Amino acid sequence: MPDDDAELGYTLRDVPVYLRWEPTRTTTRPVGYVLPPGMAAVVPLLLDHDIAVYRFREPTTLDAEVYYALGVNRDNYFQGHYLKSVEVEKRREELEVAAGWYWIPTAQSRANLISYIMEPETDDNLITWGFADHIIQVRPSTLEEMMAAFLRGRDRSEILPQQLARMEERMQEQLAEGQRVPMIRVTTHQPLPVVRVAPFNEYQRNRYYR
Amino acid sequence: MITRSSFASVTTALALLVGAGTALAAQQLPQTWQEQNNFRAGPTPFAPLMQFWHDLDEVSELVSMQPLTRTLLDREMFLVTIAQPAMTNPQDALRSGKTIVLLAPSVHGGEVSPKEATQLVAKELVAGELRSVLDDVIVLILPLVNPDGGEVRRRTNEAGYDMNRDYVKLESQEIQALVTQVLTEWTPDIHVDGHHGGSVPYVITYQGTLNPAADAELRAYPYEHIFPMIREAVRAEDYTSFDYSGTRTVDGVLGWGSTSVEARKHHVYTGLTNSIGIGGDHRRTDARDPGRNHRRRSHRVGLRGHVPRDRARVDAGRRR
Repeated sequence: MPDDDAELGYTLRDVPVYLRWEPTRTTTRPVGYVLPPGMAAVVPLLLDHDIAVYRFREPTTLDAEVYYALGVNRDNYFQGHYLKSVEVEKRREELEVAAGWYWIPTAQSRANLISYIMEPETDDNLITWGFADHIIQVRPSTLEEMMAAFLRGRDRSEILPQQLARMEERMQEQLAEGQRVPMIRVTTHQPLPVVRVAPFNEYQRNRYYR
Repeated sequence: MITRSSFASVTTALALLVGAGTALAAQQLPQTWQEQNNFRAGPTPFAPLMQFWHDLDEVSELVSMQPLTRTLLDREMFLVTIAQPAMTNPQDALRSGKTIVLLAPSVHGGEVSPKEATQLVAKELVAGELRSVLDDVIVLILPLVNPDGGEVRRRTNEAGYDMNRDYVKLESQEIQALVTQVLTEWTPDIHVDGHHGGSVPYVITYQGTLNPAADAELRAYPYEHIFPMIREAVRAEDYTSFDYSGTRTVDGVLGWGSTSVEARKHHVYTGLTNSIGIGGDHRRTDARDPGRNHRRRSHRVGLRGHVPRDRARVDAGRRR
């Protein structure tokens, strides 16, 4: 144990050793994840990670599990990102998928990594690093905070009562619905009209200009 | 660490190899910058470091080097492969069925000892007592993961990334090249991520993947098979080793625990991608002023036999 008063800077003591990390949340691994085309910017990253990505070539309807973010936090600023975490609620839905959506099956060697970066409540995923920033906004999580943001210092009496009521109703709807997380789980095997995504061009990608 | 098990058979194997005229005599090998300076000149700068690797590539047929990328300050990064027979492409390596081990030292530029130790390990592999390891193992080495930071002993690369937090988003040039050209192509079975920030009194500290999202058997393997061997080997040299990293309080009880296990770190990412990830730390020579002590004692590179034992003891007594 480090000890500032000891001559060598440490003392020997018998203490418990904590090496066991327990999962805080667990989930079954889905058959795959669906990403809307708005997440296209993340596809090169997935290919870099040696993850096979597919694309829907015709519209289809899927039985899916959709996460909705009820609270979005951004706690730390790190390496150019506000690290985000979300509290989510999972709902089962009929998902209308258009041609051009992405399909990432978990039946591949990177399955653990795929689940880790796609599940919204892990400590290190696409939401953490802001890949879904344009889809999931940081916004107030209670009606009072939302109303305060809407009023922006104005008094309630300055707003027409009907408008105020309409706003409140809409805010309540927004709060109850949450924001759809763009990584959508498909947990059953269903017909998938998909085609493999290949990199547009094979070259060594250099991020920096020289 | 892998090596300790095979010491007994090494002498005979080596004798055979020398007899067949395939092994280099140790004196033909290039000297590291540390050896030239009697381990007293501080961490190796980038130019002599790469000079050593190129020299090694030149004298040994087992070594091959291929460029990976260039850093922001235009330092060229190489992947060194040491194998018997020499390997230049991942297809051959995978077909050979041998275990592939990656040594990725000094991702944090100020943590200098792994890049020094890696050179000595390479010499032993090419013509030394580790040579027989190459019967079963292909060794991949990045001479230095963070050339720009290493030159000025800074944790981050030139763009400001702590690159051991970059494995999910792959924003830094160096890690992107490492993941796309080494990890996904060569698929190393064992990764050793070399650091120099462990805790006193342990000379070597180590940590496996630990994240429960990774495969359970792969997580358990180093704790059952590799770390006990490291512990034995270090103890045989009269030093101590233990789990990374230091004090941790859980439920109000003071204890000793690991660092956090997010996927953004090398040894966790590699666990999640089905390999054995090991973070290895050499002891930070003085926790209270690491910078000063890196400068003062960085010649002690943490590899057995190359540090005069009595001198290390004297240093330990003088710490403060």
